[in-house]
Amino acid sequence: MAVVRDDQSLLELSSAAGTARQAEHPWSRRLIWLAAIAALVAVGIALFPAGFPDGLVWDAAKPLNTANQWVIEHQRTNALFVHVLVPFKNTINSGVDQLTKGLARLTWLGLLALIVAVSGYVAGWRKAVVAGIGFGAIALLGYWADSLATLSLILVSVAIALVIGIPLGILCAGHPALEKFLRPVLDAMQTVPAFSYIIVFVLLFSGGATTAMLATVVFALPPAIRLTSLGIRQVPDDALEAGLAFGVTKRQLLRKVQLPLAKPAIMVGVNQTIMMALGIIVIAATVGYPGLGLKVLLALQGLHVGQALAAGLALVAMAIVLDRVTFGWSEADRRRRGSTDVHLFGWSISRRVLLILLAATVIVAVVVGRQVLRQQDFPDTYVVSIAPTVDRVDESVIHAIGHYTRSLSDVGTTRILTPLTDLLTAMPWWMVCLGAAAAAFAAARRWTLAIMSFLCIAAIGFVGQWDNAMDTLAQVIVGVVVSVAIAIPIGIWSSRSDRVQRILKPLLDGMQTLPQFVYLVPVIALFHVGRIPGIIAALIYALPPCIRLTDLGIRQVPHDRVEAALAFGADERQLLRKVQLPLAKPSIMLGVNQTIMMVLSVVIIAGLVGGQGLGYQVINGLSHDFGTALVAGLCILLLAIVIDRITQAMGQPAGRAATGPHPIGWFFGTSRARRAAVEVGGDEIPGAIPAGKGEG
Amino acid sequence: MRSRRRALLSCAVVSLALVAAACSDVSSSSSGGGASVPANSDTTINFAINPWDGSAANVAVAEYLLKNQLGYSVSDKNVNEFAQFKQLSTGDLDATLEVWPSGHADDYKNYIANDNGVVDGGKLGAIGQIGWWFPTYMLQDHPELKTWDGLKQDWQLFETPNTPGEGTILDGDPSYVTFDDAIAKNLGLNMKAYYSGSESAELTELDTAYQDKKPILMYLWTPHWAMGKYDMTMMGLPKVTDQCTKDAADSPDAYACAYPEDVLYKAFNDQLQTKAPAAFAMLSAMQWTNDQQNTVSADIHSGMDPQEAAQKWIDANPTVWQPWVDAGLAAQAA
Repeated sequence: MAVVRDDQSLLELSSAAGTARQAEHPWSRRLIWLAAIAALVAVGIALFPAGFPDGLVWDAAKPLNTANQWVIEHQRTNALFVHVLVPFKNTINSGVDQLTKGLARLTWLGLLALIVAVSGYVAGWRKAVVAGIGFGAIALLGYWADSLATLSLILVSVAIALVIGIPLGILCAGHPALEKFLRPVLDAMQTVPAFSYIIVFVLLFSGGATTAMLATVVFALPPAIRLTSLGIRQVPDDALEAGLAFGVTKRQLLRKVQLPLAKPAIMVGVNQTIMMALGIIVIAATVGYPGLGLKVLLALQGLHVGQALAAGLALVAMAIVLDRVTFGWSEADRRRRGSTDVHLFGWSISRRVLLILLAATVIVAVVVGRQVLRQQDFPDTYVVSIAPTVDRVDESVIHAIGHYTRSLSDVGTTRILTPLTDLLTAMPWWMVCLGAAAAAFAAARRWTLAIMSFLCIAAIGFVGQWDNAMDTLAQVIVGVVVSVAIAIPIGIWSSRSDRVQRILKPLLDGMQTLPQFVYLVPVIALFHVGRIPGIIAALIYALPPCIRLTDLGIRQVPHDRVEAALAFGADERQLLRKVQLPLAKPSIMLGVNQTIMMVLSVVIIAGLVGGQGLGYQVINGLSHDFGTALVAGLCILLLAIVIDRITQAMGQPAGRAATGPHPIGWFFGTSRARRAAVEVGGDEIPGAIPAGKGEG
Repeated sequence: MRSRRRALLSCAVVSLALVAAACSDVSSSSSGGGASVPANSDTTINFAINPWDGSAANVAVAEYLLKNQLGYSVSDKNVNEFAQFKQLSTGDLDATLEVWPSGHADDYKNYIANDNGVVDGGKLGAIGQIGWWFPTYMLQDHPELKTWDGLKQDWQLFETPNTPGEGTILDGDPSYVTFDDAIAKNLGLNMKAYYSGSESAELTELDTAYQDKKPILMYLWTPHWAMGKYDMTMMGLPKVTDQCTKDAADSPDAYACAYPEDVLYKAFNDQLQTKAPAAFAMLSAMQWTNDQQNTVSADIHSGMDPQEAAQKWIDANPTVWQPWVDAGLAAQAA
């Protein structure tokens, strides 16, 4: 985490000074290094065969396709299917279906009242207003009925994820060996593209609610486990000792001391789990699960940009409401600290009375909806259709700037992407692997990381995806370079002005929550089918974390250092370059790391818009080469692991071990991460969680 | 203690009230039907809707007729054309109404020929034709593009940054069967297939090119809503012979002909006939032409609700669908 502690201040100041000295002649040294590497690469390309030799390739897809074939033939007779999998699938399918129908039966007025009431009760009246506005927007956009299916999928998946994740997290906290074993598994669950493992579920359970739910659970489980474990591990030792001194059993310790004190972290986990689940809704729609995701997909297929945006906005509204309410719940819970009175507009009522009042209101709303209005769905006459306006705006924008953007795209492809891809594919495979190993060693000074990097990249070649991986790698490099080049200046600008930060916040939230599918069609219209639209889509998704973390890093530079530099007569530019940026470096590097992971996670989207590479292999395999889809997905994972470990290591000062936990709240970026850090660590803002207090 | 009892009592009241409120009836779609409609409403027929408008059109018309003429309940699921076979075989789906044989030879073998729960439902009537299509405006300056020979001299027109040095054949969704690279290579053309990855990507590119009257050659097919919006011409490729068909099955890399006609067919779950004999008979008898399907597809594409689009066509064409319904009624009586 990018928290600058006081005891490091001297070290960092001197290292910044040291860097300043080295900075006198950095370019000559860097140029020599670059020239040497270029010469080596040129020699390698000239003397050795390009890419990965065919003879070493193992057809990894074949066993998986054989498995697929076996399932087709035996699924109706095999005992496992008939007695376990099929009943399981039917139960879940009908359960989710019943939940959706139940929500619908409450009528729109009743359900809206229920959502507002629940939000108000757990998170305060302000969040109730947010919930009302958000779901009201969904109704006004005309997607109320569709949102119910999405909502029930989220509820069921999150419930299951928490039921599995929290106990597992508790176990991990008690058994560090288990945690260490699980970490790469959890990383994989979050990095392997959902398209890849959704195939396995389709194989076993057909399309539908069960498959969608399982894919969502897989994607949303890691935060629940990680944050529960983190929360419990962070419980102060003196609280534990006090409990033990009173003679509690282990179970009592868990229930009465550890869990209550870990509650803030666990609630952040719940929040993140819900966000992850929402992030996968459109992918759930690709296996046919109805709801908002499917509406986006169907609109996209007909090239109806306005409809896609409307459905996407409904999804964003739902995401924002769920996020604010669950986050507000954890904050309000902390503030309440077990008090039983609610103070509302000067009155003080007991929470029980409030609960009864709210329940009564909800019942009245349901009854009104059923008997008086007699409508389950939001009335069409009040629906505000934004689709035609959006379509018109879209057309005019494309008409106005399309020529320029398309030429830019052509130039970018011809001058930058194609040469880079050609270069990477022309290099002998062992040279690329050695390059990765060398980068790993330079960043972390650890042999294990270097060897692991070499093996991971080589493995991609062994399973036959070398050329596709190089294609993807070229796009990732360009995407990351452009992202960082745009994000850091914006982050610096945002760090100087609170107003800019406030304006940027909802924009950045939207960029990360709006399903990428929504803006694919305009992006293709602006940039031609090819590799560029994928990079643009990646840009939109990957800019927020980098902007946020740069902003955070610079804002966190302690004031006394800034004042010291100013006292020495530094002007703004020198202040930035010599003090703020070097001290913000860990945070900025974390932002770069997150950018890379985001770009990698969008590789699949690139495959849908002409980006080819590994993303296309996954899409391609989805329908008739299930083995290749899984293999390509694993290759994306391997690339992600190597790049992630290297860039995380680069973010730590030299000599520090690069085994930091995966940053919490990475989905929503640093405002979450920072708040979460405060929740669980409490060492930044005075008056935060006092240790030892909690529900007795 | 008193407060706890009070709380429990209020919870009981609350739950009873909710249950009472939930039980009362509220407006939902009325079960229509005249006196002569059979009572089949406790049987639900589950349809697969594939992600193209033609499929939605087929299902909308079938659903409308099954509901209003034969009294069945209907439901549908959006499912990809490959995933649907699995669900058909397990009974999660009862019927799919448009299968393209060129893409599903494996599925036919695995599920239908091997009796794995799916039966052939007969021809849909519409004939699919995949090919290399380009905008008709290109013929004004390049009439030689009518057949593939024209590409020998004109390939540069289609060169894009995606395939430097070769002309681009724009392909879409990888799940659609293609022989484009093989055809280009075996006919000695300097063209390369570029896979955009999704149908919408391909069609967006077409839209952009069409508006600027730029050259574009793409993998496309009829029936398709794009045929109604853009004036497209199919490029002539060598006629399909028996050798071609053999190549398609055994050695797709040697393919060098036009795409064969796709005689679209329907597929049902093997229990459908037992479960719903009237529905089975009606769906088996259902057959309509490309033009008829395109009419309904165009309405759906322009935003009409599928059931409304179906109703519009059904009201206008009673002679077309009456035989289907009669077949269903005959099976009902039997």
